[in-house]
Amino acid sequence: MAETPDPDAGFAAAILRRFAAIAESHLLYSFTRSWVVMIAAVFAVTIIAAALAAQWIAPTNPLDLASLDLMDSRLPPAWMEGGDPRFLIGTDDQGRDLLSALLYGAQMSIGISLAAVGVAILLGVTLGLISGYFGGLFDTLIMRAADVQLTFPAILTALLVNGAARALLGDQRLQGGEFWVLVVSIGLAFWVQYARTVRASTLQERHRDYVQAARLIGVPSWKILTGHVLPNVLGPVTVIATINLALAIITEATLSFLGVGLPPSHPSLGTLVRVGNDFLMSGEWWIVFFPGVVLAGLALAVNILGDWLREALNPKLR
Amino acid sequence: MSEGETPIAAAVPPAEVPPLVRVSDLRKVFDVSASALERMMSGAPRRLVTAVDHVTFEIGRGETFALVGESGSGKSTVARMVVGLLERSAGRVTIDGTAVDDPATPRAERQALRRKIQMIFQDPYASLNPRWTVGRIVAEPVVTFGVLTDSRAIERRVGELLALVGLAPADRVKYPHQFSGGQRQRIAIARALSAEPAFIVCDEPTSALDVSVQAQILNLMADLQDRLGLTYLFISHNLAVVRHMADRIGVLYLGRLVEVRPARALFDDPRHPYTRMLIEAVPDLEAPSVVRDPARGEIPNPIDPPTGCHFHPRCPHVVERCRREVPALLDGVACHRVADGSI
Repeated sequence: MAETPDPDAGFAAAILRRFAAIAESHLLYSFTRSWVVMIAAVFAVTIIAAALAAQWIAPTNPLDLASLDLMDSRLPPAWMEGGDPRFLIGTDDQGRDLLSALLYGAQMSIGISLAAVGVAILLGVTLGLISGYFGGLFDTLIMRAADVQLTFPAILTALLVNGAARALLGDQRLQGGEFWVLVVSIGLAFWVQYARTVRASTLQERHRDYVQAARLIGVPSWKILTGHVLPNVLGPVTVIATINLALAIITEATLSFLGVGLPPSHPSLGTLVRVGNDFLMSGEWWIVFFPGVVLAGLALAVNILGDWLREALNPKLR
Repeated sequence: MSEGETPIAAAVPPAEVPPLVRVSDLRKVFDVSASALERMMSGAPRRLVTAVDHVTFEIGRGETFALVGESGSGKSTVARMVVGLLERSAGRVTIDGTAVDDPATPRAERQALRRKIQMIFQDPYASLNPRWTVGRIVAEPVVTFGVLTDSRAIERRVGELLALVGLAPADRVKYPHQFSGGQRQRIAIARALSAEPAFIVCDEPTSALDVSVQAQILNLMADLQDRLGLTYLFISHNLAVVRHMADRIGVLYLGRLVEVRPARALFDDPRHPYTRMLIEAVPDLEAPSVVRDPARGEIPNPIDPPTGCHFHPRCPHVVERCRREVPALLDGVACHRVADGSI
């Protein structure tokens, strides 16, 4: 069966077709109809682009400890009395340029969230497909596990996984691995929604005649799942993924705020807010204000985009 | 079975070659009871439905055998068991001498058998993957069986097949939603033909289509049968369609065959009371003023079927024996009253 068209090429082509379909569908039209959605999109794209380009546009490198000077710590924004024109929106307690820290931090937060959503999708979609297609004991076990997990708030699951990883690995060996611990713990907190949605769609699709036609000629189950069922159940997944991205950003910030996320030397939106929180009462509001605004704005914008996507895709175009 | 081992021998066309498809004592029992836990709590017994019971027939090479019956008679269940999509509760299906869905059959032989069988489904909107191009859909059997490996050869083959069913070879880059119901059914036919099968099961292939398109599809299927020597098992509830297509017809009632005879004989001289009732009910343009007997009653609930002959509660010729004994299929008819010569 080596002559099967390369599945990767098929997948890439499918994505390209998706984009072509989006361009000519009413998605674009409905996008231009709502100024709230357009503002959210501009905001989200700006923040994400700036965060991704942090290495090039940030005035300083906050990870370079040698460049820090404690004499610069807790300076107010440049336009205020005592401000320094080198630090546009002030500095934090370690003397880091807040703007640079913010850009690097947003990059870290967005990276963790994207990777975490990726983990959740991979896990949830795989388990959902298998549960829905094969049913039986595996299905029962997975779905009951999902039910149990749904009784915990996502942040609690993430804390639990995080704590377990730290206990198992120990702080020494964790050095540098915090990123992946965060990714996995947030990912494990969010897989249930994907598994349930995909399972429900799979239950529907597997009885369709095109699946029967493939079974008839002896196409192996894994190929039916990846080639036939998967492309037909991914629609709702894109919507959930967008909304989950906002939740993942907040969850990462919460974990970092609680001190179980990234170490203080690595800025993320959550760690910056935590540091800023300590100085809020002494009037140094900018350390918490700017990361907080970016965090809230980004989460809100991504959420609005997700909601819009859900509505725009809902009256099925098929 | 005093008549010998094949009670329907009289209805088989005079051919020396062995039949392509043999179905014997096919049976399907569905478990429709509540879950084990609920049964335990309420003390309710298991509930079983016998959807198909002792169905036996043969199909000769190049022949079209039709199964007709009301909804719930088990037509589609038979079709899905014959191709091996549904597990049989009992019975045996052999195609070209090889048993279908038999774990004892070697792997290679099973794969070879799969190539000979294809199916055309009822709903052309559900039988084509909406995310696949027509070319990929039609090529799926070719690729799966490894008939062709070179991508250009596959493309050429797809083009030929599309032309064969009356579509343009260039249609292979389009998606199913760009076609009408009739065109989609043509695509499904092209897919069924792509690995050159010998036997095609058609499960109500036209009932989801507009009447104006039905005839085109039926003619296409008849034409392809002549050209490629195909054997059809044709499932339908539409007697007019069956009359047009079938060489021989089996009438199903509540999972049992009540009459199996050549199409012409069955329409000219129906013998089983149920068949008579069905044919009476077919509208006829040439004799519109005939006062006809409407079909009486409805098909009973298969969970709790009548004793003896399933048809006895609706039969005008019912006698005591019909309520007790299940009639055997003799001379192509399963009826006590026909067997004893009273009707």
